[in-house]
Amino acid sequence: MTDWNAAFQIVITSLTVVFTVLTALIMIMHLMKLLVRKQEKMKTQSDTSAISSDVKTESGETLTGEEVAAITAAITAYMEKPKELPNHVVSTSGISRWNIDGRIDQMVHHHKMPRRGASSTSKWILEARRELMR
Amino acid sequence: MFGIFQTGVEALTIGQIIMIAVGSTLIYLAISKEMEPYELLPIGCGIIIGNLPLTYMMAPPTAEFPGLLGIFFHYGLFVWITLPPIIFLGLGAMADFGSLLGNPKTFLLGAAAQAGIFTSFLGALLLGFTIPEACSIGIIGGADGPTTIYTTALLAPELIGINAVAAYSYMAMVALIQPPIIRVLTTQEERKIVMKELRPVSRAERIIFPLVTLVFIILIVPRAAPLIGMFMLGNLFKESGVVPRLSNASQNELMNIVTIFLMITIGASMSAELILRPKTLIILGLGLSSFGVGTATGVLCAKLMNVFSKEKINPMIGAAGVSAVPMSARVVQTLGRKANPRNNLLFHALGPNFAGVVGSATVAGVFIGLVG
Repeated sequence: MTDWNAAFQIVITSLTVVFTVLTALIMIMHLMKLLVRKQEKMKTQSDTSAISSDVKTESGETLTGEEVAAITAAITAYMEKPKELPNHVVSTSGISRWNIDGRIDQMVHHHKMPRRGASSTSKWILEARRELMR
Repeated sequence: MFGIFQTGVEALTIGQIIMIAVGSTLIYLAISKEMEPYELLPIGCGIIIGNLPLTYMMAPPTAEFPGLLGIFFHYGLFVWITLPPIIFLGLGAMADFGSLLGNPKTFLLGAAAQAGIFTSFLGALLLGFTIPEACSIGIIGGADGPTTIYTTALLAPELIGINAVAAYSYMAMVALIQPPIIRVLTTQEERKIVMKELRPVSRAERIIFPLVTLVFIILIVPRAAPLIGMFMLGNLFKESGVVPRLSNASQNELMNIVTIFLMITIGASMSAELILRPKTLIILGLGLSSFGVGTATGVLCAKLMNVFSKEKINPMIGAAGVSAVPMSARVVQTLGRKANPRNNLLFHALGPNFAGVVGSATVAGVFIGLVG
């Protein structure tokens, strides 16, 4: 004789457990998705904040990335512009002053070549700035 | 003084001849039609070996002359039941939960498709089976071979052969069973629904998911531990990426070795006396009905979700909640392409497919916990 009470108990218990477990897993997966997204967002933010485009000079002055970009563009334009050079700078190598080697010659004799490092670069930029303002 | 030499010919019975024919049919289906060849070929061979007389291949270890297959059956299935969970380890190492993690609500489709288990459970009770037998017959509707074998081995070991053959045969026939049901329950417009591409799933989620699932399910259903535990362990091997040899071995060598032993043993356990009874036809009928009901409830659940959800899902993917991985997902893909050539439903259907595996293993754990 089949015990129908036991049978229905088995069916109801099994259905309840399966739906509860799988629904709970859905919520856990949503939570996991949010946590992983949050973690990735925090990682991206900390990575980008470590690289600052601000340049600090030896005198304590801070130049923003935009200012550095503007100065660099101005220097490039200045270097490109044909102009009279002082005689003592002119190289006797015979290379046209407007080619790259000529420009390097000028840079070597007019300015100290920047070493690696923010302070020498910023010093070079400041000198270039002064040159522009003359 | 030697005994009289006895050949098997005079001991052969009609029942054994019929079973040898059944085994040959399964071998033919496996080789010629390529229907679940990894399962049906060794099962067919096992049936033939087990039904040839006077071999004593299935004699248990306690017998005077223990049989080779009897030893595998006894320790692998009857006493320690180690073989099905090891298969689950391999299945977990092959599983990709990306589709499920990308669209977690498809977990519900996997749950809904398990309704087939309960309809055939109640049907089996109505037809005179005991509660443990009905549980083992019902679990065929989970469309998961190792789960069926594991549950039957614990609750009704005498039915293990026929239940395994029913489960694997219907899994192989999913492409025949599911499409008519899906067409009846869905409209042409619904079948044309194109689903949005799933979001990319991070490696962290893929690693955390099996761990969380394992702990959570085993806390709620401790008797599901052998199946769920091995399944998630295998998946963790794969997703961690740091143990490629373990992952490869689980998916390949281990899985293949265990499949050989398990399937031959199951086939050999199908003796004529056990199988050639009216009960067998009833079990085959109940198994078929559970597949059909599971497909229908999965599709209907997806349609119900569309009523409440802004983002429509193609209701056909509900049919993939019948966890015949990946056959039912492929069936959904084929039907989706026929309705709309731009539709690519395979990856979406794999979500409910894997959810069905987890769901059927959970149900098996509940059955074993309540009845075992």
